[in-house]
Amino acid sequence: MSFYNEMFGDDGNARLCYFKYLEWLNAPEQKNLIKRREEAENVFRRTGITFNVYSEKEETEKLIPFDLIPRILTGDEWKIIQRGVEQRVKAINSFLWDIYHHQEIIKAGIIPRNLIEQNEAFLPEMIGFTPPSGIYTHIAGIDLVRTSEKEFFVLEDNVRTPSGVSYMIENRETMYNMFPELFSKIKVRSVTEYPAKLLKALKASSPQLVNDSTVAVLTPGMYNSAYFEHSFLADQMGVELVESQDLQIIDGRVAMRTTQGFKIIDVLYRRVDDMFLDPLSFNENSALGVPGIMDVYKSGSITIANAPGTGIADDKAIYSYIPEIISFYTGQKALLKNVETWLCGNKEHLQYVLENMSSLVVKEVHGSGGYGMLIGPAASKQELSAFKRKLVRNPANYIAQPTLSLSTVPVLKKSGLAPRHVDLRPFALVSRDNVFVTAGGLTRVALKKGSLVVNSSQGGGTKDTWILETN
Amino acid sequence: MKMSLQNIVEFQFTANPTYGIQRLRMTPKESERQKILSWEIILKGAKKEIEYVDHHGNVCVLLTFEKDTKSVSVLAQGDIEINKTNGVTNEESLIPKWLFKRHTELAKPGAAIKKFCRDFTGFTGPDLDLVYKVANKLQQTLKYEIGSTKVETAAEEAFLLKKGVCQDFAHIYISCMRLLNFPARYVSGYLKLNDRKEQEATHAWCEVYVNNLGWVGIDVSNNIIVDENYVVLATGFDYKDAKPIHGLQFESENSGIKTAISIQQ
Repeated sequence: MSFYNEMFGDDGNARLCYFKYLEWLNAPEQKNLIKRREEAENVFRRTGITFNVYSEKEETEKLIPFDLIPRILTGDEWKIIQRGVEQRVKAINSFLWDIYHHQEIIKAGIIPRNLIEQNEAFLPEMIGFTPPSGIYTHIAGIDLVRTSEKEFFVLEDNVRTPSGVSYMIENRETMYNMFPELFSKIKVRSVTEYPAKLLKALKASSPQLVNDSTVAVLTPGMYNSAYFEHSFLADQMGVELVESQDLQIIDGRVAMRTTQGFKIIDVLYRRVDDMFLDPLSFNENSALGVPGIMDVYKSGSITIANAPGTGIADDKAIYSYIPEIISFYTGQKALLKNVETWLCGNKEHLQYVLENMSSLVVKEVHGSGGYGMLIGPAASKQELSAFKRKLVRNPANYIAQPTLSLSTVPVLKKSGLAPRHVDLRPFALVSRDNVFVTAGGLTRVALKKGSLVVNSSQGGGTKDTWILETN
Repeated sequence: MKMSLQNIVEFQFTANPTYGIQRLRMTPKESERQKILSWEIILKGAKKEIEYVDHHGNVCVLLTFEKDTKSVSVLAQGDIEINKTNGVTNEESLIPKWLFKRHTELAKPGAAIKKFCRDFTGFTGPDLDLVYKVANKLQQTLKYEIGSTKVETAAEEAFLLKKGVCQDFAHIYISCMRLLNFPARYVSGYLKLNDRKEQEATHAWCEVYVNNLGWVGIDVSNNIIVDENYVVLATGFDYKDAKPIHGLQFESENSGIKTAISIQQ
């Protein structure tokens, strides 16, 4: 399999967008760049960027490795991504409205009913209800992989509670701090306005028609793997970070305890999963949510971002229908391609997957973080047959995709530059009339040679992602 | 038929709660079968926060009460009119009928219920006949016995005991009808017993959707088609989203709930 190297062409020459960067990198002053890796690590330790790895035995906090070599995309390449993400996110919002109202897409025979019927992410509580702004997925993160110069594929949509945006911002901050001269030499589009744009988008979705809507971030607490990001975003937006015990229903609204007494919240950016959001409506043992918040929501007095029930749109089985979803609601062809997907719940698909497992990637429908997946080409015979047994027991729980030839970008090693596989998660913010896609995103990189798994929970790292001002 | 209804529920708390919240579904649900002429909910010891209509069309009232509340009382009363519809009702709803075939936690069939239903799978007669047949058979199989089950008892468990109260009868029946591919839902409400004015408790029964007809009300506990003596408070997938009072008290215990229901024609 050959891979598209984003920095160097097959002839070994640097690609145009990396010219200026390589000029800087190859200068004698940068000879000891590898030593500065520690400096970057110290920056991260100071800011407290860590994440928890969930394993069966213990929870450990660790640093996601940061690679100093940026990933660079031209303005033209970015346009492909930006338009594609915009189109996708709009269609997903239309889909969500439809699926919770008249379900025209099922009636039209485009999506099989059983994909919705048997899906736990589908919340009957949302039927017939329109969120205050009409928006379901205020914040979306779309995972892309690149396979050639102009070909980007969507690997996964994250429209429930996409995470990782704090790394995008902190990676840039670190690069600014360490190499300020690079940014005067090369014009890179900014990502640092993201928190301000997020705040604006959240305020714009407020149920109140006033300008000074109150926004707060709801976190499950400091033991959550993304707690750093929750507090980071609250801090950057200048809004309160709240937990379950800070909130209460007062005068028919959701209010938070502050030093000046209770304050009404208009928009809650929640990082608590649906099932834990309201013990009166969902998991009654949840201590992470707000009892009665669904009642306030359904009376139209608070915006919950993202809306409960959005998970029905980023399920891996629904994913395979996104091109049809896009054409159904927008009348357009999908700009970004989907990766071919076999739904193991379908008998013919299952047969194909069982016969070709050694060349496929098999994932759990509701899985995330690279847990519980099988990479066929890298699996041993025992692993393959063990996975087959799991698969046959509950086929509808799995999907399979071809092993993609993910593009590479070099990482910095003691011996010099070495190509490693990458993906990209751009972040979109949805307001009433537009979709804003931050010019950048989170580039995740597999640090092991030849590895195609970029998830940080599986030993992946991150890179700063540069979108050039020039085309 | 016009009716005047009054339902008082009183909660006494032993340990002092730090905070409490309850969702009430104590306003009769409007449909072509029943019309509300006047209705009010009066609270003592608690505050009404919100009133809205949920996805099933039930009127929900959210109430809260403060720290150290000793007792809360809810009075729901008003006049309604029930039309003669031979147990059939229809309403506008966006919930697709197939969603009422999805098994829910409290009405999930186990091996015993599945076995019971096997006798009916080959039935070729009219749908409505099957609806009655299953209800009949269940009524012969189950014994109504107060105290034999708890509120959290699920269908299969009660079916294995062969006894239960109206809630269990309803869950078992829903479970069966869903297995037999009918949309079915749980109904909570009142049953006016004609020999008395003071009624004992809120009641529960089911509605099964029959094509070209509508939701047919069936009370398995009494083995009859729902008539004008039944007042629907709320409908749901099971007890969980149709119960008249759903609450949480923090750091407290309920020492007692007293209910008084009076229905007058």
